[in-house]
This record gives sequence, structure tokens and C-alpha cells, in this order.
Amino acid sequence: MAVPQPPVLAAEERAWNYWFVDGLTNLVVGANTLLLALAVVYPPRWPPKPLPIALWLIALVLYVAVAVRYREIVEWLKARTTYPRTGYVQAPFPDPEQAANFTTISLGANSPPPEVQIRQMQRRIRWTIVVALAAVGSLAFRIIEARWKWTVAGILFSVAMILARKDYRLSWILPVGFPILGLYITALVPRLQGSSYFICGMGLLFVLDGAVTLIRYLLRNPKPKAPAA
Amino acid sequence: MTPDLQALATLDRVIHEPARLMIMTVLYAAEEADFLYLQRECALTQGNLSSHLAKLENAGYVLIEKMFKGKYPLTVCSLTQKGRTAFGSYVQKIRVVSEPPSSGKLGRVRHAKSTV
Repeated sequence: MAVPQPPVLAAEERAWNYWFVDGLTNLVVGANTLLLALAVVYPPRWPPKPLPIALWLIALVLYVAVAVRYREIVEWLKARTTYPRTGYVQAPFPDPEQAANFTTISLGANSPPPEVQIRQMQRRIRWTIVVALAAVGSLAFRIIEARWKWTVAGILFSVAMILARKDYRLSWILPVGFPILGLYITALVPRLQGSSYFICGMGLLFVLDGAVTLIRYLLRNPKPKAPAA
Repeated sequence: MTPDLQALATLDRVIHEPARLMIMTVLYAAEEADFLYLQRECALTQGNLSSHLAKLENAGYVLIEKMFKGKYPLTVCSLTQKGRTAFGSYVQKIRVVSEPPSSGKLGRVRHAKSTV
């Protein structure tokens, strides 16, 4: 159940969520995961051949470059799509909980009101579970030998995405897509290629999620026409 | 007039106007925001927002800067230190209406219990 909160903190949360409003963040994360998958799918083999090594190197360098310059890339895209449509805002802190605490204290209270503390506690618990599920799902790749490990990993990631949806703008593509991906790999993919297929599928799901969110955003917020001269 | 009521009489009239209070709330919550974002958040017309921002700027509460993000020009607004202090002081004064400063914590706990 949604817990109400003071207008300043609500405005702060909206400013923080605004970063995810257009799906560009997931689109870039997904594209970068695909680059990683490319590097994992085509590792250099012996005897070395120039084309596969060049492809592998390009994918790896691009992956690192996008990971390092992630924020700048998203900002560059937002400057062309989001800011002209719905404006620009910079949230005060990268973490909403830190922002809420800072704002409450700066407004003269010793601690956030009980409603906000409940929200913070729920969020903390949720994210502990999300991280634990993602960690167990990733470990399943290595520990479990049976083929059904991909289905288990898919279900664990799916539950993690359902929980993450409470804090981030994510479509149903991710929670629905992960179990399907897991089942597909279990049934149809050769055993040794499972990891690379899973990473590739994960990238595709994030790209799809980002693209759907972006299309929805663009349809809801057409670019305002420039005033006639 | 009791001292608590006197405190209410000293409320900052620049912030007290509803539209400006909305603008100050949004800007207090964010590091900076552009004109379009403020317009959408506060549901104000362009002219209305401009005039209120001008009043806040004249009072020294808001800093308005023109900047570019990529090729897109932005009119970015942010609260000055004076604006932040004024808003904090306004909130504390307005709080007196519902809960006296001396028993502020107690008041909040009572309210929380009554809503459970």
C-alpha cells in the first residue's frame, strides 16, 4: 500500500524518478549488455584469427567505454528527446533515501516522519531481497550442473524485477521475459552456451523494455511546437 | 496576540503565495530544474510561472540561468542559499500552526499512532 508523504519529499521523489521516465536508461543498459554478450559469445580461440579477435576487442572496448560514460551518454540522448518535451530536473542525491533524510533534517526535523521511515524501511528490505535474488540467480549459473538451472535463474530474476518495479519504471516485459528466456535456454540451447545466451537475452529484454517505455513516453509527450514568428 | 501567533504574522509573503510556494517546494526538492519541468509540475501557465519566478528572483531566492544541454537551450532555475534558508524558516513557522516547536516530536508520534 502506498504510504503518503510530505509534498517536499514527494517532489524530491518525482525529481529522482524523472531520470527513468523515458526508458533511455534501460535502453543503454540493454545495449551495453548486448555488447558484453557479444564479447562472451565470441571469445578469442586458438588458433587466433584476425576477424573474431577484432570483433571481440571492439565489443569489449565499446562495452567498457559505454559503462564508464554511461551517464554522459544517457544525458546526451535525453537532451535530444526528454528535455525538449517534459523539461529537465536534477535530483539532489543519487539515492532517494539520502535525499529524504537530508531534506527532512534541513527543514528542522530530527528525523523523517514515521510514514517516510516506513517507506524507507520497505525500500531497504525490497532491495536486499532484489540483490539476494540476483546474486543467487547468478550463482545458479555456476553451482548447479543440471539444465533446469536456467529456468531457476530466469524465475529468480523475474521475482527480482517484480520487486524492482515498485521503485523503478519497468514494464512487464522484464518479469515476464526472464522465465521465458530461462525456459528457452533449458529446452533449446546447447549446455556450454547457456551463459552467453542468458546475457544476450537479458540485454535484449532491457533493450525491449527501454524501447517500449520510450515509445510510450514519446506518444504521450509530443514535442511542443515552436511559436510562430 | 500570543508569541506563536506573532510568529505566523511574520511569515514570508513572497513564499506564502500558493504558486510561489509550489515553485519553492519543487526547487527545494531538486538541485535545479528548468522552466518546462516547473511549468508541468506546478501546472502553471508560461506567463504565470514567468511572473512568479521574476518575483522570487527579485527577492534573491531563485537563481535563473540560461544554459545548453547538447544543442537544447534550457532556462534552469535553482534556489539560492538565501532561498533555501527562507523556505526552511517558512516551513518551521508554518509547523507551529499544528504543533508547537517545544513538543514537535510528541505531536508527530501522537498523529502517527492515531492513524494506525
